[in-house]
Amino acid sequence: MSFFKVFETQELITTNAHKITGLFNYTTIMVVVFFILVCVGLFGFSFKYSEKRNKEAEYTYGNTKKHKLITLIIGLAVFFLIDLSITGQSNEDMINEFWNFPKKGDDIVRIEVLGQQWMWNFRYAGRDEIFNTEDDVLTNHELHLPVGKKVEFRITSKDVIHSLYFPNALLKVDAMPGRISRMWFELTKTGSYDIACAEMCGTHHYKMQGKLHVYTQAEYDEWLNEAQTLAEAGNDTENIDNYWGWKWDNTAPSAQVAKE
Amino acid sequence: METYKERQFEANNIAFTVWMVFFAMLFASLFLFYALYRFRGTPWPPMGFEKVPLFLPTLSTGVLALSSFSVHLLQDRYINDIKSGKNFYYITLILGGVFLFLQNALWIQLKKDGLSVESGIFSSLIHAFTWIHAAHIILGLGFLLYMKKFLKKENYGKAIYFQRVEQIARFWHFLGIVWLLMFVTLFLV
Amino acid sequence: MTYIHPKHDAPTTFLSKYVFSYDHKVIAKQFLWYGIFFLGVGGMMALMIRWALAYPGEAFPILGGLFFPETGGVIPPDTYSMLFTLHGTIMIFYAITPILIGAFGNFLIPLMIGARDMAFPFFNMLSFHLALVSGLLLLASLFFPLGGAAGGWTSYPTLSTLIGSPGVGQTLWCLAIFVLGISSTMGAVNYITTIICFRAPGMGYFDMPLSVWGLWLTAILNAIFIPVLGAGVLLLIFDRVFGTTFFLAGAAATSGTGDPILFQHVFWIFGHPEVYILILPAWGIISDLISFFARKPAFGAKTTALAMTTITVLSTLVYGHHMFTTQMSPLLTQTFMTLTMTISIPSAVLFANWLLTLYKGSIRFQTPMIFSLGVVFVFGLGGLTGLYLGTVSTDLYLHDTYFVVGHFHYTMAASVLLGGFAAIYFWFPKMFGRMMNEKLGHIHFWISMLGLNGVFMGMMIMGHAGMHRRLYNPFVYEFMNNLIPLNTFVSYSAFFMGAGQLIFVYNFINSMIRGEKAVDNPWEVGTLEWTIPSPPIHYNFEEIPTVKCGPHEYSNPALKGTGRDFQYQTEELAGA
Repeated sequence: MSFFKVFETQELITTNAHKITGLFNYTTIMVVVFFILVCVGLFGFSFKYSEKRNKEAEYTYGNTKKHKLITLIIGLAVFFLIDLSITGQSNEDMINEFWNFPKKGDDIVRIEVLGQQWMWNFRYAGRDEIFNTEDDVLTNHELHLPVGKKVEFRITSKDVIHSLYFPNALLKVDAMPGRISRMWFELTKTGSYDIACAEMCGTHHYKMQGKLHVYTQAEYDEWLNEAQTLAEAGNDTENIDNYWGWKWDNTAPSAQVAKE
Repeated sequence: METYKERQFEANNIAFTVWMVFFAMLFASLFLFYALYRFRGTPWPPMGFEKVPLFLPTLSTGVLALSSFSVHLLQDRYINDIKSGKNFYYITLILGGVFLFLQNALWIQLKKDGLSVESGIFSSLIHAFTWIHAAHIILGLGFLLYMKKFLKKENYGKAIYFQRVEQIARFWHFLGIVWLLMFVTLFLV
Repeated sequence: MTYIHPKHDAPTTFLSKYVFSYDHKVIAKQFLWYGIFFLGVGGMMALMIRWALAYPGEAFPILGGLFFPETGGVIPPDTYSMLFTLHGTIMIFYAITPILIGAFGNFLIPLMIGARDMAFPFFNMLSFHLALVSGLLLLASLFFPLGGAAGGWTSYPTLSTLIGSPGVGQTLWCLAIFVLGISSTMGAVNYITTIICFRAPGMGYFDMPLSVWGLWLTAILNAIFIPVLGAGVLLLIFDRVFGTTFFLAGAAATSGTGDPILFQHVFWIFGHPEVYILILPAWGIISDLISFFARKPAFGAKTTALAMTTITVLSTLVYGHHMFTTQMSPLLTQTFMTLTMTISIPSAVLFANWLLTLYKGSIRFQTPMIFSLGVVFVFGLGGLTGLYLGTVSTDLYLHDTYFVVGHFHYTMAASVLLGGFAAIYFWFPKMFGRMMNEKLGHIHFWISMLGLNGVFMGMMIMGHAGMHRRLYNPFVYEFMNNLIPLNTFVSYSAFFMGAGQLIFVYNFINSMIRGEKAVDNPWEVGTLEWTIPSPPIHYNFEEIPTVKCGPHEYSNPALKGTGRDFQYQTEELAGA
């Protein structure tokens, strides 16, 4: 069992991760078929037409109309059968899923993320539902989310470029200083999962870990309630460093450049 | 293309074209950077900065234009009237030197006006562009100095030397055009 | 007047013969030694990386105690970052470029087109010495207190600005790359011009060997795109040294921010053509070698040349696929995805032509040929794995994982390296007048093939499983703990492959000193370099040849009377 486990991705925990593995597997089928054809040609011809077995080579430039047609057909077949089919599918998946951000007014969990050397900071809006206020719930390393509800992340970085990577969601997006990037997913399984940084960010890039804790809706509400109470009571409101958040702009399209 | 000499002559032309593409791509990249910074939706010049006063840039443009004219006259008279051509050679060199002097004056003025190198993207662009352009002007002056040996009585008139004079002059014109584009996009509008 | 390329006098002093030589053949050898040296340095760095990944926390054998006394021989995290940064930089700019482009470009172009030297021998010599200065600058950066560049060979800001990389190392890296750019451009101008202007009478563009086509197209891409990298790297130097803010943003930029992503755009506008720059010579060389050793004209040679040209053009339009995770606008992203896919068409044409050249051939399996066939195999894998990275949705997962590392190593380390070895084994007799040992060559091939496939297929598997890149110790993550055995396997394959290269080095040096003396034309090939002695006289051709046919004239029935199965390019055939 464990030998073959290396051929699998991590356990998938979102609604649309299977789209990625689906396309990957489909592409693999196409790739394997084409590569087998290449190998049949490569090994087959090498064997059959070795000097020992075939004393005289055929004298042809391969430039007759028939030859050019064969070559053209091969090129176009590859493009139309493989390239366009995977591109079409990927494009569809991007439009229907990964670029299909929650609309304004949807009931979602909103999280602001700040990457820094070498830690992930997460911000929840708190009871006033406004970001960058005194009651925001701030965590680092630990992210708590519910199943069954869309989560949208808005991400930036304090210093160098990082990349917020959820191995179990098969998603990552760069955290860039001066820009806000976005990502969304909907979780389907409870449990604890890794969060990582997928862009070289310095000496301790390898230790920039986070943990994602996924709860049922009820458990999440309980956790959130407690966290919000703690935040209201205990946040150090004088500490400027805590106010790294920004106004959640509901009209923003994709990546926006942060206002100075 | 029969003789070796003819082939080498042709080779010089092709090599010159490739080098011009190379330099053009360098400056095109800088203009690309500039365009992307300027047109990203934030005000330009950025808050707290004013456009650079036009006196020194305009004067520099004039000096460089004159130097292009004089190097053109040198090229024109190389074959038939090298004596007066030589005068324009020295005028070009002097004007090139004056341009560099004016650039230095511009840098000093920028610093005085609060646009030091570290003052942010607006200042960064102006400094980087003018430094890189000035470095190429120095290179151009170097080529001009190298050209001196083609003006010696026993050397002038040979086709292959005229080709060198022509190419150095074209490089000089290229730098003038780049400066003109810089003048219009960085200082004027 | 007939065309006579002057026979320049032979140089006499040691310095003018071996150090400041204007002879393209000597400069080629200088680049070859230089490239092989750096291949060794870069390779050693790779083995250190693989050691750290197979045995995290254990001292590196022998050299560890020497380099890292404070940690008892264990590679520290910041050194690890320098290792993968310099491994990439060295392999791309200081190993592959000097060997394929510097050495073989210089050696082959004048010989294959029938010229006595390059168009600009002085600049040719200067190009090598500038490369030498660049190499010294890069190595020097390792001796400074904070060490060399450590932000990845891609050197993205703001990590590569003073915020992420204090000290001199990164600045020296930028300077080294800048100087190398000037060196490469001088070379490119020479190659382009020589090919256009100094072809022997009778040699049309499609009578040139495909090796020359590959080198020509590479030079054109180099001349156009190096300045773009130059601009980016220069502005990075300005940010580091003079305090400009081109790439500083976020908390770091105090007034008027720059944009780190612009560096990525400029870097990849150069970077994508760069990967084609690296592979075009290898494609050209193996296209020729497959024809030579199958004793059959290169199938669709003209189409192959045109396919390489098409790829050259298309490569300029696809760079954005390196940046999908930076969230460019959807329209831009879709455009880059679609354009990237179009490169499949000419690539498929190349494969068709290689395989159809083998079809009904009479194939000889000497060392250069098996390496060329190896390229077809590994480039097939490498190119096909690019498909996964070209589609945006799969790329969002695979970006910055070992899948990418596997992909680019298959296309570069495997394909270009094997192609480079094919070229070395093939032209060694012409360069040094002796033959390399065939048996050792075969052993070298099989060890390299087994090793490389173990390493890079292993990497693609771990990338698919989610392991991301540039990690000092991946196993702090729970989700990667089951990948430890695979990492160990990959490291063993790498050590195995590395050991195999020692056989090559032994063969190379031993053959140079004591190898069997080579005849003028040991491989029975008709291109112009095989019509002259091995090694050639210093002005190459006693008389400038007149070309009568293409470079792939094999098994022509009209050759019956000659006792050969190939036609020299200078040969007029009766009844042809």
